[in-house]
Amino acid sequence: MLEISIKPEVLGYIGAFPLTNAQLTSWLSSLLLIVVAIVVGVNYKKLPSGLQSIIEMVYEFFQSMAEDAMGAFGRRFVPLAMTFFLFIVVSNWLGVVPGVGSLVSIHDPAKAVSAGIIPFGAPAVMAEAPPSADATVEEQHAYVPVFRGGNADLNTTLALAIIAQVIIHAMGIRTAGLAHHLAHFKNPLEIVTELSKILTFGFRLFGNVFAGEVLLTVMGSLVVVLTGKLAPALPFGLVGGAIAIPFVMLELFVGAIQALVFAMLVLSFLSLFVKTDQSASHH
Amino acid sequence: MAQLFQSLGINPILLVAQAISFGVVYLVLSRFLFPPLQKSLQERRDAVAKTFADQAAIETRLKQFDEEQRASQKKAAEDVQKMMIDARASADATKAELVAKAREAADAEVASAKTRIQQETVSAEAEVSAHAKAVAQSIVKELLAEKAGDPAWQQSQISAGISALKQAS
Repeated sequence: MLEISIKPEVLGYIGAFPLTNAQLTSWLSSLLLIVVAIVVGVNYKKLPSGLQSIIEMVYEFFQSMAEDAMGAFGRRFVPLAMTFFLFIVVSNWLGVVPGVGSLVSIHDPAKAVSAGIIPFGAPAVMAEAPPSADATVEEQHAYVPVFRGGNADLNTTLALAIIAQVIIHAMGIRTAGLAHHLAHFKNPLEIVTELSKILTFGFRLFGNVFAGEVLLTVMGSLVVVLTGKLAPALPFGLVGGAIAIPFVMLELFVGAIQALVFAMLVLSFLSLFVKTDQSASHH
Repeated sequence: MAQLFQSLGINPILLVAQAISFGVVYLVLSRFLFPPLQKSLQERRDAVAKTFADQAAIETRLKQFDEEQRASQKKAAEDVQKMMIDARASADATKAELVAKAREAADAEVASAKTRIQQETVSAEAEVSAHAKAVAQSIVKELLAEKAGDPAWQQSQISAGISALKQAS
């Protein structure tokens, strides 16, 4: 039956480092982003085309947004917002690529086959015996997907949220001065608000992306089950794939929107604490 | 708390690993992608601003040129008008002068013609009178010569002369 885990599954261990499927996908998306950024950056053309014009469009969008919030001073935060956006959107989209959820690493061949998994080639080599206390949890999985959307992992989204909050407050202190910055927290509730922003940042992104993964998995298997019952002769994989297309589109959309929301919130929270050159006080 | 983290799959090692990958991505993007992007956007912005400024300058220049042209056209029209007035005035002056000169010349001609006619009249009269005198003399001579050959006429003449003498004495 379907296994939908809220946690990223551990594929194996590099020393004491648990390599999870979300971590692997996240690294791949970072690598992709880095390669694309270097290729576009090194071959930067005066007249933009293709990918470069899209990147410029997004950059200008964030730039106008930062200028609206913080004036010309806000321009220095555009790279940060843009990096948040790109990091999240690439990771999200990579998680939606068909096959990302269906390629699995088999831990227990017998159970996996009974669950309908067809072994392809050699059993996963990465699935070694985990050396840590996680072992008991790990043994429950007969198989785990090799890839999982990077943001369908709270570790990623909370890491991004913490980075965002740290930068927001560091910039607040740097531009307004420590005393002025602390003046925001005369009311202790403000501290709670700021801490809760980490949670809202992290869980909003995680919830949307994880829900999307669940939705795609459920729709895919639902279609497989239905077509298997109604028309056993149909190549159900194809039908399932075709019916999943609208949901894939939806998830591509959601992935971009969530990335946009995250980056925009970073800019707008920055504008609450950053002292711009033009204005003397905030709030 | 640890239980919650465990069940949500939150692992500090993974958290830090993700933070590091974000940091690496940020550094790489800041090194390779953003500087040319910002530069290019700024250049484009400047170019657009320059285009607008140029356009405004050209429009101002054009307007100025238009005004200059209009002014020079007006001035040229005025000049032409003035020249025409001047030309007409000078033509009138010339005409008057010419007419006066012509009239003068004609008057002089008439005067000289008059004197010449007078002189000619005088000389003609003199000539005519001289001629008439000569003709009369010649006629008298001829008549005298003709009558002188006639003894009867001589006789009568003599008798007439004698009677005249008688009367006179």
